[in-house]
Amino acid sequence: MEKLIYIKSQWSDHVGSSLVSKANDAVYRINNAASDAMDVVRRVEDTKIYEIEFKSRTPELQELKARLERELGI
Amino acid sequence: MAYSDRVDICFSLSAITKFLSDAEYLSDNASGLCAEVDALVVGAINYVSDTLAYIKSCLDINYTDGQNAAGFRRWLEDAIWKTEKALESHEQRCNDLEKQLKAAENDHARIQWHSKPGDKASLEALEEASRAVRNAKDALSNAYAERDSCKRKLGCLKEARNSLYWIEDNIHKDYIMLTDRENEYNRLLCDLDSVYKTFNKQSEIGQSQINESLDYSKVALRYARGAVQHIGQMIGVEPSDDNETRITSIAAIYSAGDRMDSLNRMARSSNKYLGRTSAEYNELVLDNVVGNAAERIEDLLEYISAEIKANENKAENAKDLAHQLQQYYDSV
Repeated sequence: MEKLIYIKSQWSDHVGSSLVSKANDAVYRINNAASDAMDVVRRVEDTKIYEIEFKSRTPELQELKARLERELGI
Repeated sequence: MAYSDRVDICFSLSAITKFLSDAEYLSDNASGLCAEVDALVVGAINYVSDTLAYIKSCLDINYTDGQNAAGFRRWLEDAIWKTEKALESHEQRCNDLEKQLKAAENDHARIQWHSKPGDKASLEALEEASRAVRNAKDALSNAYAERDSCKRKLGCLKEARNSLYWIEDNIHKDYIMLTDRENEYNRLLCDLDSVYKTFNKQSEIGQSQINESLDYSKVALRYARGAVQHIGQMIGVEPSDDNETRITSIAAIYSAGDRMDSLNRMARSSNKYLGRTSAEYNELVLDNVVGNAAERIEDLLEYISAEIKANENKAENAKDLAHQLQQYYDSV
């Protein structure tokens, strides 16, 4: 029964409100940080649209040399 | 325990249960959200890191392309310079041979003018002059062919140089594009790293706060459930984890409390007529509660109440009622 009295004295509206406020604050923190993180992830997603189209130009150089060799015999 | 304490504990149980439910919901949601965001951010970091590695390999290839182009350019410029010089020589040779041809033709015309028909020496001189003209024409023709070949070669080399300009321009554009993307992805990686650190920190703090609330409410709920069980045993109702039963239990506790309050009030009231002390009635009520006789007490209460209302000023009836109550008490 002492425990009941204890919890009754401990659990008051103030304690409840404080814990609710704390939990809400925690959720707010997590949501804010998650939102910031997701903004950057979205930027990465947007960047994916622009594919990096790259190819080596050395084959073009080799082809140019080969053409010169054919035409000039050098 | 006072009735007000029981009611408070019931209210507390309800509030704590609600809060625990909310805290569990928040905790689950927060965990889910954290895991989801974590996976997305880590995925994005991996993607950006892989892309940066790919860009670096492209830049390496681009550098090799640039080196190859520069080497070819040096060779081409040298070949063009040498061919231009050779063409100048060919042009000069052609000019010289044109002069020689002109001179040979003049000699031939002069000899022909002075030659005498039938004169052997004149005929030989004329043949010699004709041969010189033919030789000069052949030499000039060969020189023209070599000059034209040199010109064609120079044209090919210059055309190749134009193609090389175009390739070098593309290599430069590739470099600009790759370095732009590299800078962009480096910025993204930096931002991702920053938000990920912030998110992890806030997530850790937030989850710690939620867990603290969760732990507190679990302890509170355990105590409060113990209290309700105790009260339930007093009135013969067994609370359980099932919400409906729990609500029924709470309602029963409220109801029992109300009944006990009413009983006390009626007992005190009837005490005036029955001459009994309030202590005796309280003892009766307490015994009945402890003896799990709430329903019987309620019946008695209703009976007493009805009788008292009907016979408020009739002490005799009250005495009979007290006698009946005493008999019932003795039987319990």
